[in-house]
Amino acid sequence: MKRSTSILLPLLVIAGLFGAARLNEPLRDARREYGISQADPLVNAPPLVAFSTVALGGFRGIVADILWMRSARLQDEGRYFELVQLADWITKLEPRFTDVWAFHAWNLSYNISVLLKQPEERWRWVSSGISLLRDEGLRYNPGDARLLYELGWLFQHKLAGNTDSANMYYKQAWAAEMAELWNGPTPDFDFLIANPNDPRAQRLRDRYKMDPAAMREIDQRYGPLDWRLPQAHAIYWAWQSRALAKKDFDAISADRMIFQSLADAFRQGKLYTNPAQHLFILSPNPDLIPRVIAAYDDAIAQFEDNDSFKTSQANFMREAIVALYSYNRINEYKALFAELRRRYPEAAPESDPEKFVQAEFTARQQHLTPDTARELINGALYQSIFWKTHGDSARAEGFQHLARLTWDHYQTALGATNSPNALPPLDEMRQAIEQN
Amino acid sequence: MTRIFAIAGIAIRGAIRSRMVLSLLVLLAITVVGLPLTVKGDGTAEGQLRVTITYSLGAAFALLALTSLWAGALSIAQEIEEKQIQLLAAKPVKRTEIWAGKWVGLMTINTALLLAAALATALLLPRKQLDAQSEPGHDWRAVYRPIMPTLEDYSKEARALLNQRRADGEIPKNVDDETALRVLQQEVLLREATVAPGQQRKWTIVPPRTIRADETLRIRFRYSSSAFGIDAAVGRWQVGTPSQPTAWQSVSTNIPELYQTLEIPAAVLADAREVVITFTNEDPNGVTLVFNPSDGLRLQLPAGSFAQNYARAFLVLLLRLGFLTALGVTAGALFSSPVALFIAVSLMAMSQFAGMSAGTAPAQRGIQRVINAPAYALRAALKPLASPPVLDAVATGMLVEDEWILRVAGVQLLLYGGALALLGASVLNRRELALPAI
Repeated sequence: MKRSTSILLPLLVIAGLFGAARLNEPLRDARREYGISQADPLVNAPPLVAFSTVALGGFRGIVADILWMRSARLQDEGRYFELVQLADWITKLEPRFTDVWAFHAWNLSYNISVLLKQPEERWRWVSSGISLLRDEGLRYNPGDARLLYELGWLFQHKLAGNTDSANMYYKQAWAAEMAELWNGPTPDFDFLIANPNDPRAQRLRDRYKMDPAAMREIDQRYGPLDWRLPQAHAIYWAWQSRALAKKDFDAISADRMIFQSLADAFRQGKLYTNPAQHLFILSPNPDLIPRVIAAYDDAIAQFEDNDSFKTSQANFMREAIVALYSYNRINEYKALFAELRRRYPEAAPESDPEKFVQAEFTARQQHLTPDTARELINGALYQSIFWKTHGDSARAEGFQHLARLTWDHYQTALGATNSPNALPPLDEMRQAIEQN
Repeated sequence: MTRIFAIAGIAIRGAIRSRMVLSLLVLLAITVVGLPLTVKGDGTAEGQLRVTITYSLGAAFALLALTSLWAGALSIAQEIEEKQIQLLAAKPVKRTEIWAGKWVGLMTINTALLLAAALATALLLPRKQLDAQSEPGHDWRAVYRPIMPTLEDYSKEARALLNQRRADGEIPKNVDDETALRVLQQEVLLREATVAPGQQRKWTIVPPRTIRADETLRIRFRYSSSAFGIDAAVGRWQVGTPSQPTAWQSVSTNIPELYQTLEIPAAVLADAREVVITFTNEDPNGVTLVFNPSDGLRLQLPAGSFAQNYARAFLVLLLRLGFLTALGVTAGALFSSPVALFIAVSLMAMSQFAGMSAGTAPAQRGIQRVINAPAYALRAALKPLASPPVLDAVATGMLVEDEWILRVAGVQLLLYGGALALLGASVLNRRELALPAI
């Protein structure tokens, strides 16, 4: 080899390496911008994860596949004892892959939990799914709006919803955990912010990964919320997701979760609980109606082209009018009815508010879901108590009778007596309202 | 024999001097004690038991398996390369004895280390919590043997169906009888496995031993439902003998796609030579249920204690280590140390994954058949080397079958291990052990 060649070639190599190094950053930025890469270095990763992701290189995908196959086989064979660990390893091998986290959390909370009979066994798996996302997924992907949304979804749908027959157990278990952190529905936010070393503030931050300042901001904007119930937590995580959303789709999804959870908090967002008497009774919270409507307004203003928000808002207003009427908030229900007619005339063709309520009430009786049944019965009971305290016993009796009819209709005619979604005895529901 | 033990002693002393045994002991201690502390179970003591057995003992075995290959491959190859073997070869020992001595030495170490790992794992089991959580009829120490129902022969029915469909022109002419019969047999099998609303499905099971009146039997089953979702289906189970098929019955409501267990007092089946199980679909929603022919139902008979089963699993693992050590030592006799190591580890990996290659190959003709022949031959050769799921069995309270022990001892150790021993000794006999350094 000539002397000049032996000098030129190493120089060429050095120049090439220098050029590649210079191009690396812009390329990484471009990948990040277009969302086609997971090239950012891992932050907060424990040594084992950092080591395995680097040392295994491209082979970690193969290892993850093998573990995934084992996980699927064990699940098919009904052997669940290893699945939490396998999910943990698979997600750690692909710590920046959002879908992997989302799938495994969903698999634990949904697919496996429903296969078990006892509510406490189910709760263990639902709780594992929440923990996987909150304690691990978000640790490796702190700015991932999608993961925050997925976590919120578990609270909104799995815990707050009623599709799982053990949903009341989940709500009680979650409320019991929150009751260790604060008394009553709302935490003392100022205390928790001012005393970050208080054991409860630490627990809230370290175990539940929640920031009391953000909780206060959410409560001021959308509340007062009952933070023992999952709806408030769904709103919290959706709020976090909304703040970090880069794509319209993620922002719309988060907004939707916020107002859907708020609407749900209006339907069943007030809790009366007395562990000594084994009472855990959910009732509507009509105070939230203006907040829900405002949340819809925000989303509509943000996404003017999205008509689904408007339809959803109109439906909510119709529901809220009936609720306000049954809670004897006459002026409020009339004002809301006028607002509904002003905004969505096609949703309320009837000009007489009472006739509108009558028609809505009748329609709802035909299609009672657990939420609407609870809402209607609680409204009627509230009216009964209200008129009784005002000396109109005949009217009070009438509303009590109406509550009884709706309760009977839901429990008996709809076959809910022995179902997990059965309502508490009417006397207990009335007692809860009286004590609230 | 004395010479073999003498060579084995040298191998053991060498392993101890090189601190291989000490390093392995430390690694095993970390594995066996550390893994259960880091691996998450499902939060129950039973889950912890299963995770401890599967991971601690599994990882200890994997570690010893790799070490067996590594130490086996180096035991001869490295001694040849470093010319230490010349001291041995110059003595009046046969080359076969050198091979056997190395194998015995390594297996002695393996036995001691695997025993230590197995004992440590057994000591770490959460016994107190398991006893506290045990319910009547759900003793964690109970071991069951799954018995398959007698397989019906559907070939005649499939043949009749084939003739009928051929006559009706429903089967294309270019489909040969063999292929059509295979498909039709599946069709008949599926039809028999399907239980429409109000219909029955019957299984006959021949227990391998006499059923005692004081034990509890179990039926483990799983069905799929025609309804979407996980709504539980209702069915009536009847268990008895051919002369009294309804000696015991129970109506149960079970979620589809999930393995379920029913307990049956054995008094109703005492001394029965044949057990008849009948399922009647009584679901009020009129769903059709399908029992998978391969794993739809098993009768589970009590089969000894946890300790006995654990010992059986230990035996299978030890026998497998015997085969892997033979593989390593033979590779060392055949090749230089890096090549021997590579070959041994590759063959072990292939034998580990041999069980995943299953199913029937489609019929092939001509050149395709010739091209694929080596792959099919390799698969056929590796298939007996698949590892039986002994740790899964111990962890789930299922019997480590006699058949598994016999297969590993007879086929893997004696047949394959013996062939490797003959090959290794034969190559050593011919191999020049005193080549000058280049």
